[in-house]
Amino acid sequence: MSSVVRARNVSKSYSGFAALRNVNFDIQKGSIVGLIGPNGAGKTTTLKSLLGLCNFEGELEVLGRDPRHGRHHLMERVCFIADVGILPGWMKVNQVVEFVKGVHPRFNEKRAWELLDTTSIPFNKKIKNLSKGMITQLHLALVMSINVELLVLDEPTLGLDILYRKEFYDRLLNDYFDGERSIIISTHQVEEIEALLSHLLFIDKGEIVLDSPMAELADRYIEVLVNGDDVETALQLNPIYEREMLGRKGMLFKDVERDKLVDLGELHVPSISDLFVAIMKGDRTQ
Amino acid sequence: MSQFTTLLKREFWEHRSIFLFVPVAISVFLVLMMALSLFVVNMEVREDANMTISIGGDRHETRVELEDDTQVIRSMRDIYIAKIREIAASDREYRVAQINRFLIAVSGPVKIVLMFVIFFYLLGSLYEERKNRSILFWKSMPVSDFSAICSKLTSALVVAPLIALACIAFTEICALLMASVLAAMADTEIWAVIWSPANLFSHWGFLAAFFAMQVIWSWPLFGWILFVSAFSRAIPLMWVVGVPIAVFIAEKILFSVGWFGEFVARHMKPYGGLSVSAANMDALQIVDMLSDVDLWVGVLIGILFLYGAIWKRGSSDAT
Repeated sequence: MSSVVRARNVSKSYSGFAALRNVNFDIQKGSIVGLIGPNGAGKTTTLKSLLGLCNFEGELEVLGRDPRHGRHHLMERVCFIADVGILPGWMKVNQVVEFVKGVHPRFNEKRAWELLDTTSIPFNKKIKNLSKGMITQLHLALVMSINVELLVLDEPTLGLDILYRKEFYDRLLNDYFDGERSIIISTHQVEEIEALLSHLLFIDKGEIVLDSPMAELADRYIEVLVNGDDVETALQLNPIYEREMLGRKGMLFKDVERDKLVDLGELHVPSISDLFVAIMKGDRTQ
Repeated sequence: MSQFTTLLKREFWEHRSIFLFVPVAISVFLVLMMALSLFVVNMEVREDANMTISIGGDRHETRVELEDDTQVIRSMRDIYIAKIREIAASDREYRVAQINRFLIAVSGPVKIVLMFVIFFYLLGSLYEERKNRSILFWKSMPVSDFSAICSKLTSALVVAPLIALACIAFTEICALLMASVLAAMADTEIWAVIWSPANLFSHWGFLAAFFAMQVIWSWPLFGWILFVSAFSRAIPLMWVVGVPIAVFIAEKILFSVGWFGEFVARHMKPYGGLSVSAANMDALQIVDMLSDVDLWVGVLIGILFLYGAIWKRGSSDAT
């Protein structure tokens, strides 16, 4: 598989504050990557860097290009939805469709109208008169009608109610993702995208603290609901995180052989949110 | 080309009110006022500049008593009919000069408003999109900063003036039609007295050429407005006016010279050699202006500002 994004020692600081510190990662073609981290961890800065929206130090290649130069060439092959409602409020829905049709060579107008027809968005209203959910639906419909190789979503469902959020990701997976395209989603609402992802990147304080394919997570991280008698034995295996669960101890182990754990209690594959908490907290206590 | 057309359309959609509705409203207003004052409201002008207005037959009720009954009272219509008789009695040169003065006067309001439209449009063009964050959407499209800014400049300096020109043409045709009615009342030849001296097509050609020259001449100022629009974090109006005033004062105090102030003032006005009447404009004046070093210094400064604006839009951390 080939790399769509290749980051080497990418750093960025805003007037003294280091937003990114020597970040390294690769994004493979055809993957759906979750970029996950607490607020202020550097998610948006990472995404902006690879979209050519801000300057940085280090080496970054997106589809073989340096995003700092020729952003408009890159945007023929990359699409993004930023974390704030950025569709211009004065524009009418049909105008924004006409605009994208006029400027984007890979836009499929027919598909956009098909997608919009499935929503209740009124086409001749101004965007500022639409609800937040509708604006997101509209933006998603536009983006899904553009045939690009990489789609970047920065907190795309922020502020939406659960119905819209669920629909958003369902559409993305069912109607858009085809195995050829790559998608990067940044969010802190981890649970919603868990089932979607093929790759996970955790970022904290400007550093990548986890970089793993989803398929490997189950092999590397195991959570055990430890039997009361076995707590001492379990602690000797150096869990990276422990917590109380319904009166029992839950312990998370990294790179410990399954055979050693199986007698200690119930084994689980940890959820991303558990993993997130474990890694972030572990990170902070070190 | 198709992308650029779309960008122009985008600008027009967003600024339809100032690009289209404002000049149309002014033109319609002018035409209505002219029609009212000539044909509906009987506006009387006394030679001491007092005025009484009476509508229909109720003139006695609104009439102000005159202290001195010897003064002549005439209606606007009568004044214009007298003027048309005077023109009709003169040679062609005089006719051309008079009709042209009339046309220039009629086109004035739309021209003045156009300057304000261009000023405020350019000032907001790169500022508003940052303020309302829609710049992130524009930047998510494969449109270069150069194309985007060029589409804004083209809208301000070509599209808006062409619309204004169309409105001016409409106003002038209506004004000349009314003049024709008066000419008929005055028993003069309509074509020879009104339309032939007006020579509308060359008049409009002159207006377009005049405006094009003005754009080149004032180009450093337009560049400055765009530059402020790209850089200003708040209240661009303050910067666009305040910085030149500050430089002007600093220049006066520190060096006791007025080079900068003179440069700005000179480029705000129409080029010195360009007269405002089609009758006296000739190609020589354009050659004169094009061979003026001052013009090319201004063009260069304007290009530097433009380059700065493009650079800023391309490099700014757009949040």
